[in-house]
Amino acid sequence: MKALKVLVLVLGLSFIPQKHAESAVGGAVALTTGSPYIAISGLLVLGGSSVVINRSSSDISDIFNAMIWMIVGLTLLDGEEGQAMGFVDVETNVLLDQGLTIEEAYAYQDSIEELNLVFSVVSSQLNNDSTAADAAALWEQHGQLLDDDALSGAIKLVKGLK
Amino acid sequence: MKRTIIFVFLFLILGPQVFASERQIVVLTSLETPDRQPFWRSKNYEISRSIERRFRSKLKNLEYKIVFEHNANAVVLESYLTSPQTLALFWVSHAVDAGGGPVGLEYSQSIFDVFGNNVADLFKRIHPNMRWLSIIGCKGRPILERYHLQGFYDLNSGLVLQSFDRNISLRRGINQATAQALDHLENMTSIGSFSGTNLMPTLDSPYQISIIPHLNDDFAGALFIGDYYLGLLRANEAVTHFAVPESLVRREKAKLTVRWLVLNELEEITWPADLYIETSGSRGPQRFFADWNGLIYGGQQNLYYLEF
Repeated sequence: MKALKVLVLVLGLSFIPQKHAESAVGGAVALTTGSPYIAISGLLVLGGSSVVINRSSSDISDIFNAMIWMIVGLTLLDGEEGQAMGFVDVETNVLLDQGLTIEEAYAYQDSIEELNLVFSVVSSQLNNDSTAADAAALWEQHGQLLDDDALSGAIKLVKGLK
Repeated sequence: MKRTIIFVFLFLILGPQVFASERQIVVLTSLETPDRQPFWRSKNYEISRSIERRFRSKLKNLEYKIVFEHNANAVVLESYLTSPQTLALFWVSHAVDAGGGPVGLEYSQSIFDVFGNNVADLFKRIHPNMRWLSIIGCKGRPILERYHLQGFYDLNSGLVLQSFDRNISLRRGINQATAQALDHLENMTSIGSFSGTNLMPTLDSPYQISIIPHLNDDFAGALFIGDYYLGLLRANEAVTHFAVPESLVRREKAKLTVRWLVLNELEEITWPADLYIETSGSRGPQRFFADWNGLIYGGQQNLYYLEF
């Protein structure tokens, strides 16, 4: 009986990430991050790759999590579900090692804020039903506001996800 | 004259004691009660009430006043973080540390409020009088340690930072945090190290920006130059000034990112319009990152090109 209790508790602690801050503002997660993984997939498609990145959990695991929650009732204070993703500054030589040209490297470094702003807008216009093709179309549209070299440099960096 | 001297003398002697008696322990919760509950739990269960009960029970032996704010938003958090009365602050919410991705991409360090805003950067500005700061959320410890190493708490002598470097449940988090806090706060006999000022330290810089915040109470703006957090723009009528560190200004220019934070439950979000910003070196509105129609681009975030 004690072993069963421990098992239930361990399962409960391990598989209850679903109690994230549920907001009344139309989805807290969407507010903060939208669907960054689909947005990144769109950037890959724009760069000619067919790889799609998906970090969202499956419906089955959601149901399982809900069942565990109903039994154990522990609130896990995990924030991974709403975690945003963004471009960060990188040293020039590292960017060159990633295959960026010197023009792309400098443009990328000068355009981090603009890249992240477009990234956040593209992400916010996507949801879990969106496809990488949807994201690519958005990047194609919004990417026009960016420096060409910065965008092509970002695409090369994203390809490092593969 | 004699009376005045006596009054000043008494104030100098007793002032810090009076000041100390006003100090408070602040518990801010920013969690929504889950819709579904375990079968054994009351239908009237509210997560905030449960948290408050637990805190009151754990901290009942402390002589300080305890203040609770539930569903705390960014403005409430900032108010208590920068208040000279806040001796200890506990923040209870979901959190996660930054995560390394491939080169050039990173998962953000995040401390979420109940409205879905990431308020992690607000913890970089705390009043020098604070002596205990606890983030009861998963993996908040590396965030606080990073801030400490970056020097954000250099003026807080005797400050103890407490959080967790792994996933933690609500109940366990409160138990551990309060146990450690009791140990620290009960043994804190001297108030001599308090700054004794009500003011937040200000940055001395020739580069200043002034913003007239035409905001309603639904939004606040977190201002950044790169990763550097300048402060929070709140709804009021007064012109708000921010100092920009000299090291962040290159060739008299800097990029200012405004991240809008939602403060209330909203049916529909209409993000604030562009801000009227002046700099110390340039009058008139500053340029911004515009869309195809020349309007400010973005929703939750906007970007301004400052010229000094």
